[in-house]
Amino acid sequence: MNKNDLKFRIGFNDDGSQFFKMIIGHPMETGLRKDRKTGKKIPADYIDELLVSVDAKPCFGINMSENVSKNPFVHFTFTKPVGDGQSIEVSWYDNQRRQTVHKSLMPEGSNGRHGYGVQVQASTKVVPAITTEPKAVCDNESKAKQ
Amino acid sequence: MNNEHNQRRHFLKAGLATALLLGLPISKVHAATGSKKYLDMPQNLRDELYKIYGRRARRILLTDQLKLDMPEIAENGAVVPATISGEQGTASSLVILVERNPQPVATRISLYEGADFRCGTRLKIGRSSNVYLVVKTDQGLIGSMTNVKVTIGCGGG
Repeated sequence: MNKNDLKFRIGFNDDGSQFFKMIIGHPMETGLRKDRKTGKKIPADYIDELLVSVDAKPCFGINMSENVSKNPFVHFTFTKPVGDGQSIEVSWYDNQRRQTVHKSLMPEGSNGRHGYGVQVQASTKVVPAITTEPKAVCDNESKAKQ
Repeated sequence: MNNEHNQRRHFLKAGLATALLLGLPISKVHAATGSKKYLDMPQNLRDELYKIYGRRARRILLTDQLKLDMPEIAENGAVVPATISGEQGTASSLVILVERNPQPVATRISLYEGADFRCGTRLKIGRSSNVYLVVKTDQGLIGSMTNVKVTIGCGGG
C-alpha cells in the first residue's frame, strides 16, 4: 500500500453487529530503529491521532503512538447502525501534525455494507502541506531567531 | 476529668472530620478484606494513568465483563493483534498499556456515541510482558490484565 492510503470495510458480524474495519498504509516508524547501512536512527514517522466521524459527528477516536504496527489495522463496532447516504470521514494527524482526510458516502441500497470488492467511489484524499507548527519547538531556537 | 475526656473526644472527632475531608483512606482495611479485587500494576504505569485519568486511577476494579484478547505467545512481536471483547455495555474511553515497551501507553481509544468498546488493533510488543487494559465507564475505572510472550521481539515504541 502507498503511504496514507486507506482501505476500509463496513459489514456485519455473525451476531448482527455492524463492524468498521480499516487498514492504513503507513510505515509507523518508532524513531528507535537504526538504519543498518549508515547506523543512524530512522526518524520517527507514525500516526498520532485518528478520528472516524459519521455524518460529521465524531464516532471513534484512537491515539496511536508508535506502539501500533506498520500499516495499522483498526476495527470497531457501531452501536447506531450506519445506513445509506451517510457520510464517513476518516482523518488522522501524524507526529509531524500533517493531516490526511478520507471521505466516503455509504452508497444507496448498500444495506449497511460498504467497501467490499468494488473500489470506494466517493473517496477523496487530502494531504495539505504542514499548516500547523510542529509540536516540539525548542525554546533556544525561538530565542536565537529574535 | 470530664472536660479532659470531652476535649479528647472533640479532638478525635475533629481529626476524623479532617481526615475525611482530605480523603485519606480510612477504610483501607475494608478494601483489603472485601470481595472486590483491584488491578495491580507497576508504579510507572500507574503514573501514566494518573496523567490520563487523574486520581481515579488509584483504584481500578478487576473485571470479567471486558476482556483483552491477545495471543498468549506472539510469533511476531511487530504485529500482535489486540481485541477487546465482552458483553455490550457503555464505555467512554479505554487505554492499553504494555509494561515492557519503551513507551508503555500503547493506545488510547475514545468512544463517542456511535461506537462500542468491541474494537481492536495490532500492537508492537518488544519483550514478553504484561498488557493492561483500563476502561472508563460510568461507574469508574475497570480493568484487566493479560500476559504476552514474544518469541521474535520488535523495538516497539
